[in-house]
Amino acid sequence: MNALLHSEWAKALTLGLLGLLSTVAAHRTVAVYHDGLRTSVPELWLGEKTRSELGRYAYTISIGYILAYALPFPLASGVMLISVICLGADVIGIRMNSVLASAMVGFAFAVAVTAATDLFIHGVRQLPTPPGDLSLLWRPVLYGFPFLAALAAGYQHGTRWGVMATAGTAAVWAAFRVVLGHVGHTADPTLTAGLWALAVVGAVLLVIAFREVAESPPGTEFFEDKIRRIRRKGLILVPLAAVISLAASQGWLAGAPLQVAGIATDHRDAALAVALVSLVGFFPTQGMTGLVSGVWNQDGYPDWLLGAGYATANPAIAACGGAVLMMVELLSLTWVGKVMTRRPGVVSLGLATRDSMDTLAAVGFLAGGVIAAFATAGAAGAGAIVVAHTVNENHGRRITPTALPVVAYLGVAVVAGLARRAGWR
Amino acid sequence: MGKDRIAELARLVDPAEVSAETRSDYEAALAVKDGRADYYIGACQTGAGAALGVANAILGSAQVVRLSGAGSVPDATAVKAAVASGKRGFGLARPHIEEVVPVLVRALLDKPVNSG
Repeated sequence: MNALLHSEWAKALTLGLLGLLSTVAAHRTVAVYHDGLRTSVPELWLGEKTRSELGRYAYTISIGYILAYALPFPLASGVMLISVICLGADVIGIRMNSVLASAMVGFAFAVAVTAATDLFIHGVRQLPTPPGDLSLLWRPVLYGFPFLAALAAGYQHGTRWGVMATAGTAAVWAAFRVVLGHVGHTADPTLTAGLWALAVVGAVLLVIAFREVAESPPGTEFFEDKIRRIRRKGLILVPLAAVISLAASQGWLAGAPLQVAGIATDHRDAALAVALVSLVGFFPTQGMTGLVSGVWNQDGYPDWLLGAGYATANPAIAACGGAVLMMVELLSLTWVGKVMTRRPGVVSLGLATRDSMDTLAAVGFLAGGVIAAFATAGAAGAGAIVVAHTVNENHGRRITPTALPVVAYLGVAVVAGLARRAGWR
Repeated sequence: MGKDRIAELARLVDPAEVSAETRSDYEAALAVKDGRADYYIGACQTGAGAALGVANAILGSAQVVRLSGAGSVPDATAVKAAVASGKRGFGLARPHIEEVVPVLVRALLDKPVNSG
């Protein structure tokens, strides 16, 4: 049983099930993953747009994100990003007229994309010069995690706050490192201490954010019928949440590139920390787009369902945890509406957190790409990453700065392997 | 995402003519709907999600437009055409903020007052 669960088949079938359920949820307009598509779904109910038109819009706003942002990370790590599957499910579910057909296509799509990425990784590993120490690609961003809250403080409150939060993070990090050095038994006490520092500084920022109260907040009556609609769809949303947490518990699924870095280096605690930081970052957008549309997200509040999976390797416990968290979401929608409208500090902290995650990922993966390419192909490899980054910057950033180093590194690894096969040294 | 930088770039286009404020998506979209603000600009990775999702719900899809997204290169002509068509909510990819916002705000300033 254990061997079966850890097989490639189990991975493909579980992610296939995620694709199937996500597609059904999108088809029945219970949940869509894309924040922009979510608020367009009511146009389908009102007859203002056809499935064909909305499906085309879903494809237009998703395909670039999948190819130029998300897909490089599964190709480099073997850890699927949930956006790849759920954005594809959005397009399929919204576009197709039959729920049964859309479910089958959604399942086939998720299995195919999972198999294709695993096949790519297998192929790269067969090259005469394998990718070398892939963890080098992820390590700079991993050790930057602890400063996420400090970066967010800078974005939200300005440079002075950012400097103070950075100094606070460094001090708490050092203190925890000393303590763990005496009593801890973790594999990587330096990173673990940093994550504790992130938790402390992040908690302080959250308390400060909650203390800010809007003077004349807009009413929440607009949300009430939408909240009732979302709650009625729990029978689809709860099993979906269970599958997401289960897949995360096995290291098959992640929510963002920063989480991939944690999973790919066996630092599940770091992935969990980022998932909780993501919750702060994405909660305002996901919550508000859900409440104004009456359509929820397959992934709930990104990414605490995945965080439940990172917290345990036991698939049954993870699945139960995911289901419970989705029920908590459904029961707390009214409270969330009040937070969104009456606590502006929480919303602005969320925006600052997203900005800090994006900045850290772009810089951290660039550093990781250079280091990993140097280890694989020497100075020429490192130079290739720098050139690729510069060309992308000067030509409109067609590939997102976060994904570019990973794409370029994969290119270096493949070319180095083929060159070795051709007899070059 | 990048709200402060968007506001900063917008003001730089013409400090005397442009007043730009950062608000939550919900507050900003309501402000445009109620006539307390003229335009809404948002950014995210796809140019349509966090950038436009709430504005789309409040203002309606006919009033908003995605100007750029991941995997594409911004097109100044398309930006000007979107402004000319009377859109009031604009979404763009975060990596394209520096390139798109000045063109967009200049086009909004150059737009004839009575052109919708």
